[in-house]
Amino acid sequence: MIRPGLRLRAFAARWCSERTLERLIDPVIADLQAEYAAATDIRRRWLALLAGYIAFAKVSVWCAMSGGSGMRKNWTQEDHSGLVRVLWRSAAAILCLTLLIWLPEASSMRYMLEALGSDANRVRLMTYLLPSALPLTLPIGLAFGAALGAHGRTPSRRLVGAIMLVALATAAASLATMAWVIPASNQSYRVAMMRQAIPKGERELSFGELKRELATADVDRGKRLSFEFHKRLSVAGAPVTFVALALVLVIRRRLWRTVSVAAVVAASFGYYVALWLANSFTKDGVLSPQLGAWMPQLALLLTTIVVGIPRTINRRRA
Amino acid sequence: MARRLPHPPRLSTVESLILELLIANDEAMYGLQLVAASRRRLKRGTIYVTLGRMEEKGFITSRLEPAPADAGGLPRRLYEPTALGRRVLAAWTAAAQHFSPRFAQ
Repeated sequence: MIRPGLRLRAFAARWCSERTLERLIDPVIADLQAEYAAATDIRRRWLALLAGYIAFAKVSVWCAMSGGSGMRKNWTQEDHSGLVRVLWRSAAAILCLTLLIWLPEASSMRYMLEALGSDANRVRLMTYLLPSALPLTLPIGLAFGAALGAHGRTPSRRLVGAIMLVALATAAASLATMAWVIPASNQSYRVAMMRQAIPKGERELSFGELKRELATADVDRGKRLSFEFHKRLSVAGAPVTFVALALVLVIRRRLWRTVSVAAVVAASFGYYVALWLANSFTKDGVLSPQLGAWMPQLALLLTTIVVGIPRTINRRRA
Repeated sequence: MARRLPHPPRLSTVESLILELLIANDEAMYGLQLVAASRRRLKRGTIYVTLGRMEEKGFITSRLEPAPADAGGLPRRLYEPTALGRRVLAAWTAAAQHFSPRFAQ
């Protein structure tokens, strides 16, 4: 039987330096194994595993975010500064975009409250609106950060891999936001606004609730619920495709900075127009809910491949 | 021109807590033992980062425990304070006691 944590260690060994492995990762794995071996029943074993994995995740995040002292395997100072540049620019872009979307929405809320004659707490209502902006701003902001941070340089494969890992982590965070946080905050917003209990709409159902409703829904409602379910999965993957497109534009095409940013803006706009169109087509029965929800992602992926291919072909011909 | 004195070694709250625990315990301790002894003031996800930093500063030293009897598991790392660590903690404690009446207002 494989001891718990050994796969994690093998994974970490691909990314971390010997010293990081020895001083940070190995002690965490050793603790996990010792606690697991000492656990007397299955519940304690699971708890030991959970605590060990959380500790491992924290150490990994620290390794990823620091690294100034050569913590990562084969990382150069250029790689490190490149990643920091991309992360800072992404964070700034995400913050600006979120404020840009959230503030007008929050300010228009005042008129709604007046129209409804509601005296709900405005600060709390504004907080409920915040998560809804994230699935939109995370992928676009990250793509901006990648395009601006990697521009004008030739990033190493390690750096590109790290940026894609950040995109994957963002996609996971986006999925969690769309699966649980947004439905809960949407429903809380509606209840706080109306000052009474309201039945949940499709967008207020969590993943589990969507699945349960899907099992019993009629054909029409089933289509809408299915689209909602797949749309959340598809939009959660947007950070990965957006960042891939941004990197292809900057690295393969070597476009000017302004053109790269404009291309990311155009792709973002196109993506959300495609999602809106897919929603309409699904409602009209032209597309199946699954295909409709995934169509924008597939289109973006195809664009990334097409944009990336010609240079590869040219290189081979040369 | 007056020559600047070198900065004395700095000790964060967490670092001083770790040194206190290690000095109070006569034997070398594991990371998890430190977490347990600290009554939740130390977190298991970040303690090794602090311990690594303290080792780089020379406040503590570490060694691997003998390999576990049931082969296959990773050996755990044991930590001990160094003479420098003891001196720095003593200096910081003395400084804290000296300044505490003013800060305690």
